[in-house]
Amino acid sequence: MIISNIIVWSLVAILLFIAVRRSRATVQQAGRLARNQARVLVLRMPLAILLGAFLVEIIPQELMQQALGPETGLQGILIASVAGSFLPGGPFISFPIAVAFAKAGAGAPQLMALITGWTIWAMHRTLNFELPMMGPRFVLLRMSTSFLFPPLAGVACMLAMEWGGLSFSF
Amino acid sequence: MTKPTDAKSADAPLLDRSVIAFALAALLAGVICMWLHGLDGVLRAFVTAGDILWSIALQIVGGVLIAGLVQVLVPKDAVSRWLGEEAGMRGLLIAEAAGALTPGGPFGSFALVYALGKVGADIGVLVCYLTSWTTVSLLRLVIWEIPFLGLDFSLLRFVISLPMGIIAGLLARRLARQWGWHTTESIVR
Repeated sequence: MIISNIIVWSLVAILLFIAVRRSRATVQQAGRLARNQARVLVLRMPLAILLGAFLVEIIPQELMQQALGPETGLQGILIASVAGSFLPGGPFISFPIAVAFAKAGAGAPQLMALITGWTIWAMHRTLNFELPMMGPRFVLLRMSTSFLFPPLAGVACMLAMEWGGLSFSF
Repeated sequence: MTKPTDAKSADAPLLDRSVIAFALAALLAGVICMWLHGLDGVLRAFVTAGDILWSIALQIVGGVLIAGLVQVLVPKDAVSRWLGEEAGMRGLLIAEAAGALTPGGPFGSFALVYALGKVGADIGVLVCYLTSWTTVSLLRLVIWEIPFLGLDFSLLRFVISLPMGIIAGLLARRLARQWGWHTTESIVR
């Protein structure tokens, strides 16, 4: 947490330095965009996190461990990949839900597949944006190139943990 | 969902349909929690939520500032120029980097790819850019993923995902040839 804060605020300092050197208007414009983003998040995020916290309480731990626990291996990775594709919307809702899954007993490789499924397959984004804007041929082509990535990411994580001795706590 | 904004656009509404949907979902989950575990369970959930919020609040504030600054500092025409003119492996590497650096929601990125597809940019470059933008977005990594899932896990996911854009781009070129879709204009709607 301290390290991430140092990274984030160092980036803020560097970017702010560049913006200040460019012009006053640049800083003001960035401030307006940031303020707007903050307005989008100020209610949504606490609600999403609260939803995630309730989910931790109501998802039965045994069920979560049976479906997505560390011992479920490849089967859990496949389930997680598909589940990830149905996670709704932007990062402010998907990450709290992923944390809820982790706290309820999902394993790290399964979580890796879940998040990658959300980024690659992303039903909400594909149906709401990609299909209407880019057309069916493009969607078919993109999906064909990357439909294996979510389970592969889960397997890569599993190998990194087994061979590289990595372990994670959430 | 965040929409692209410019200086003239009005403030984002504090309360809209999706906020109400979140509130209703949280309320429903809260009622089920109350029913399963009573008041203790509900209080426990509030404590968990408070802990998470407390631990990420400062990073989110920083992240929001970064998002604002990046959007102003990275010129959109430069990205579009790089992607439009490049092909080959060099094009894929540039697309991978551009995708990782592109901030913002799906509307902006798809609009860019659509426009480039219509003027005949390389299909491999476009697929690589979109895949990179969805899998290794740096801004999302710093603002969301590291605060929620921790540095180690987030970096491992980043490293695992790095080759995905390039592989997807190479496969897209190959498949488009095999399927007889010889021009990008014929693939994009």
